[in-house]
Amino acid sequence: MMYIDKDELNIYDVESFHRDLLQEFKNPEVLIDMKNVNKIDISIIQLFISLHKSSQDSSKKFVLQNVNDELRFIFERAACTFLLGDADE
Amino acid sequence: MNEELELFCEDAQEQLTFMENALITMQEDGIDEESVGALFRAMHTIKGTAGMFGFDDVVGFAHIAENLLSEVREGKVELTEEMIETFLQSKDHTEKLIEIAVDNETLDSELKEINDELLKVLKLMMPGGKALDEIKVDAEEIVDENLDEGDVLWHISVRLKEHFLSTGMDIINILSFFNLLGEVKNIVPVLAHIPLLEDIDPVKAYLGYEIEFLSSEPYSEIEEIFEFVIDDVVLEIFKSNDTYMVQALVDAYESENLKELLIKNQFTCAKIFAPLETPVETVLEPVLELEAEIDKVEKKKKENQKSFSLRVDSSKIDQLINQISEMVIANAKIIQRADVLDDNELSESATIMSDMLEEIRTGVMNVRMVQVGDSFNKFKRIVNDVAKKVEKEIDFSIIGGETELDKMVVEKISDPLMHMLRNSIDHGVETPEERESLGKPRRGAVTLKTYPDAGTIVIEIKDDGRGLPKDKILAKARANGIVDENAQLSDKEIYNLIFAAGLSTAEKVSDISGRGVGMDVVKRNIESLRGTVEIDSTPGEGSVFTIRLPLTLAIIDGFLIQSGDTKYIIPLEMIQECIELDSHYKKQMSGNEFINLRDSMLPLLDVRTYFNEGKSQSERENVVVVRYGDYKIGMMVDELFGEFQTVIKPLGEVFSKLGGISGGTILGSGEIALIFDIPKLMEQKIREIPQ
Repeated sequence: MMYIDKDELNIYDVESFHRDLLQEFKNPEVLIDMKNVNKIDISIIQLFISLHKSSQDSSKKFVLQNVNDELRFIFERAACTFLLGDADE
Repeated sequence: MNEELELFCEDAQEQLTFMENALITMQEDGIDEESVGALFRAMHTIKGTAGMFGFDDVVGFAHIAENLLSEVREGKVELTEEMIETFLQSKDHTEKLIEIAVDNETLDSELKEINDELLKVLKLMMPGGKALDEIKVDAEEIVDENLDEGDVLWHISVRLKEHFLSTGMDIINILSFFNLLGEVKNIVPVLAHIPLLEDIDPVKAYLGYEIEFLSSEPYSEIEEIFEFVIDDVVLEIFKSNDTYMVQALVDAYESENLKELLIKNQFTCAKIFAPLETPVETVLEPVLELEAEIDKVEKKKKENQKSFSLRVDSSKIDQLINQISEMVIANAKIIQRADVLDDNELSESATIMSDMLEEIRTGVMNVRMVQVGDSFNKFKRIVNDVAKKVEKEIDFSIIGGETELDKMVVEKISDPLMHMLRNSIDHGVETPEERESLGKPRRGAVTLKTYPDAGTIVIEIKDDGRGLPKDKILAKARANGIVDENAQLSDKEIYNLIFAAGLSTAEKVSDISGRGVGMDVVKRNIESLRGTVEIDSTPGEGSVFTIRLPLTLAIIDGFLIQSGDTKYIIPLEMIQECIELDSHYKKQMSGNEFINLRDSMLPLLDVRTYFNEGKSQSERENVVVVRYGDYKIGMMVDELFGEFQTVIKPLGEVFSKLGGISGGTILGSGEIALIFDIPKLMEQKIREIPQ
């Protein structure tokens, strides 16, 4: 499980977050705890989409956990709720 | 006119000119797929940009023309001669519609009639005549049945450009603006280009969106949502029932399987597509797949090779040239100072700087250069129209269209050329019957030829018509008091009289030419570009108008000389050689102003005498041999200093009557050097030579 200890993730964090995800992707499943995160931007969502694609490609499990309402709203506005497991891809 | 509207006019004019050229080229060389595609895109661009300004008449007309072009592009309709003619008329009509829209006027009844007639013809050319209307109505019905009055279902397609994330803008925030203007009916992210985790560059954008949006707001309001990122996205906004735009979008994003994406997500516009065909497994399938793959690779390759053009205000380039000019002058001062100080290192650095400045100067000048063919192609149509009007048969050819010339010069020379071409056809070339009776081919030949020559660009207009009526011109000039009754003129001088104001020898005044108004303006326009025009004519064989234009207008490579106390510049490209005027030549001269240069007589112009200079300060005398067109003269000067990058500065009103000088320049020492106007000096010298 990967914990994120930040309130907000955006373009300024995307490169280091990418490195963390690559590291995490070495595990058989990628579980990310979003409990502390309240805000993300499109660069982070795009990274999640990339991770989602890679997971499907290698049949790995990828789950974003503990997504709060505020964050869910951002995923909805970006039309990317499929990343939360909703069937709208 | 505001800046946006000006840009729109410029762009629309470019697109229309491009359309005209493409159509005329296809008329001559046959249909080619790429040109048809480009025609469609040009009309589509006009429609889109006109829509931004709410120019409904333009949009409505362009839409129908674009529809037909789309059918042609897809090979559903054959592009015939008649259709090309209709598209040419449509181009003219669109130009008029734009003019009217920009002037905020309404269509008069005559134009409305033309509009309706053209629309009718365009629609009839669609496959099955009215079939398009029916398809469109179907699509409209699909969309419209659930809409309130005034609401439009828009389709918005947006792709983030790679650098989008670095703009600091977040597309999520931009998307939220849609809810302020209407209702997002459907939105789907386009993920096809997002790479896998190990391949992604996380600071680059790969994402796109397809959106269906219901709103009563106009196009411009919707586009305004993207106002701050308009250069950072690829954006298409159109009505969902625009069948052709949907097809164009699907074609453009074929690599994203957009058609399937729209169908899968139940976009309204996707209803125009038939259900996806079930693949038939045949032995040919792998081959077809391979071919498709090759096509894709080829397409990608082509896309990668495409350069992009950038629209820059020409005044910015002029400013850059001015700044470079000042740097050239400043550098000349450094070179001068290095000489005074005898500082070799400084001198070397200044020389390097000088070379670099020359390269920058050439580069910037090249930005202004355009191939004349792009602009001259429009004459094909004018020649065609004029010939039809005066019932003559003309074979018109453009030679040397790839020659490059300053864009501003090309634009300014366009009207004089048009006038001269009209004259050639109207008065020069005989009617087919006359030509046959004279044993000439029925069709007259008119040629527009362009080529570089000795630092100038030459444009020749040649016809094989009856030639200029020398006697009539002279008689008319005498009758009008333009020349003295007893004046003896050479053939060239007589021909040049047609440039005098108010002299026309045409027996019939037509609406094309023959009013005697124009040739004087033609000459004035050419001279304002520091150019010259000459005429040569042979009775019964035809005439040649030769225009010479300077290659550049701002900085030239000059050759610095001194005569008496003054320094002068001779344009380097006109110089053929420099020789010392030694005792051998002086003996030959024996009081005359000629020398025998390798068995040909070379007239000399003594600069010191001509410009009333003081005594020579040099021990030797030199002759600089210059050539302009077919003529050569030797300029007798005192000192030769060598090449000099010359920034041309105008001399101002006071010196405007100083013959033989075209401008001045500032030397490194701060001194002024005068730039010779070689064509003028040559003209005066040749006039002095007895016939």
